Amino acid sequence: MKYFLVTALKNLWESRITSFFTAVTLAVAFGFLGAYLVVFLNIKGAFSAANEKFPLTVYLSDGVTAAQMDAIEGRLSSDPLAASVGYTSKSQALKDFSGSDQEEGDLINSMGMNPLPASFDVGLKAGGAPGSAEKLIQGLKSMPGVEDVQYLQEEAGRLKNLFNSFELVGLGLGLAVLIGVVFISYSTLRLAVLRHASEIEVMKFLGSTRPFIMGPFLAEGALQGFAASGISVGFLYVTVRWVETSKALPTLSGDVHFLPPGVWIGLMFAGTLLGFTGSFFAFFRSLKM
Amino acid sequence: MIQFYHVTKSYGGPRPAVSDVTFQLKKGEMVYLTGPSGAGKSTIIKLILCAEEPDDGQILVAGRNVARLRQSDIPGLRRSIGVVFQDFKLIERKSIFENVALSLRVAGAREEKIREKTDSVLKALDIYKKKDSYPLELSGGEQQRAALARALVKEPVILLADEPTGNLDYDTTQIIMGIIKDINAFGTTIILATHNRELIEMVPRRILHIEAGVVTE
Repeated sequence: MKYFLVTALKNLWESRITSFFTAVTLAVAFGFLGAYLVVFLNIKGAFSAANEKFPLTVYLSDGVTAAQMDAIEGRLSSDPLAASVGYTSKSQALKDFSGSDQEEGDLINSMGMNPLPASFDVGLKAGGAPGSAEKLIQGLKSMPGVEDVQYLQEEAGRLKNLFNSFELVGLGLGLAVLIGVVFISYSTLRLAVLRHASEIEVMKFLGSTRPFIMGPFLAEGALQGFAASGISVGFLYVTVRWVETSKALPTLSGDVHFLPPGVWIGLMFAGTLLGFTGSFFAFFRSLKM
Repeated sequence: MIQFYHVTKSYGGPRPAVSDVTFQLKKGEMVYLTGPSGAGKSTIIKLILCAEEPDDGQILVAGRNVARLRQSDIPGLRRSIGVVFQDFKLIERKSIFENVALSLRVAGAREEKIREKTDSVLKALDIYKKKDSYPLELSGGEQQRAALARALVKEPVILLADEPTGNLDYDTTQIIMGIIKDINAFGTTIILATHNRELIEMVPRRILHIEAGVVTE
């Protein structure tokens, strides 16, 4: 292993100009993927917050019993889609309504009764299974004590569709980067294999096994992929920190987050693996053994 | 140690590179494979190294039938054979020490053993003081001694030398032939391909003459 790494580092140093430009090209490709992931994860966070702004409201009948209310609350609390459940009594609803609209409030007060229903306000989690909100609503509607269920489906649905489209774009971008990185590694390492063809021939005559000959080339590809993904992750980190603290972008400042450790470590691992894969193909294509 | 039975190999030309070749070499024997350029000497060496497959016939090397060897067994066979080429085939970007050590490295030897054996063979071939130099910094004779060191460090049972003195002057040729004679005296089986009659006069041994792909004694 030490021999493979030392030989790979020597190879990279000997062709340092090519290695540098390859690493930069790969870093740009990873940079696109990393930037997408930053935007995607930040939008996902924003979407989750926005979903809380489209709560599901369960209006209760005036004659609802305590047992029915407990059953409804229990049903809501146990549903995996519910992020939060809050209760608004009839009197609280009136108080809130009067506070928000003085004129309408006065009109209701003049009626001598409270026509506003008690309700449960349910905050929903983002990224639930398709149709899960609809299923919850249907279940609630059939429960005794439930007058009506309101959910701003259209707005939430539109936002979700937008999010799904963005996910698809990411999938396409990820695939393009994957192919691009493998191709770049493949092309660079193929040249390296051809450059060392006579050396490889000598190694074969000395009795080298295929893995022994391949080792330094695979390590070279993996090191390039690792360096490139490392550069792109570092560059992204600096950029995100700059956006966070920048006074030039006041609307974004403080709201943008860098990739979670699992994601950026995964990105670097993927870079290493793709570099390795590219050089593996280069070896077999360039040197039939 | 090496047996050829009616071996034929063709590259698609008007005549086979070697045609119906039969010969045997006992353990510790040294033979010259002589003949003009293009006669088929290098093909015989490649066949022994499994770098080429015969179209017909059987080849036994160190008791193994090379036609029946699996691809994964070939490196093992090659590790028991030392090879020296006319153009040395030293790796230019590796030091002399690293070139010689590579023979042991490919066999998975431990670093300690590699250092010990490589230093020892470099000293025996009087090239130790050049161990940190690179091939292109050495004279032709020194390069050939380094190539011999690389072939011998793994203590091969067979040594194949393809025109080992082809690029060397008379004095250096004498030194290299002296080393080869000593190696043979230690029991290594040697095939030395050459078209230089002077070598045979320096160290007289059995001769296999090959011409137009046909071997005669």
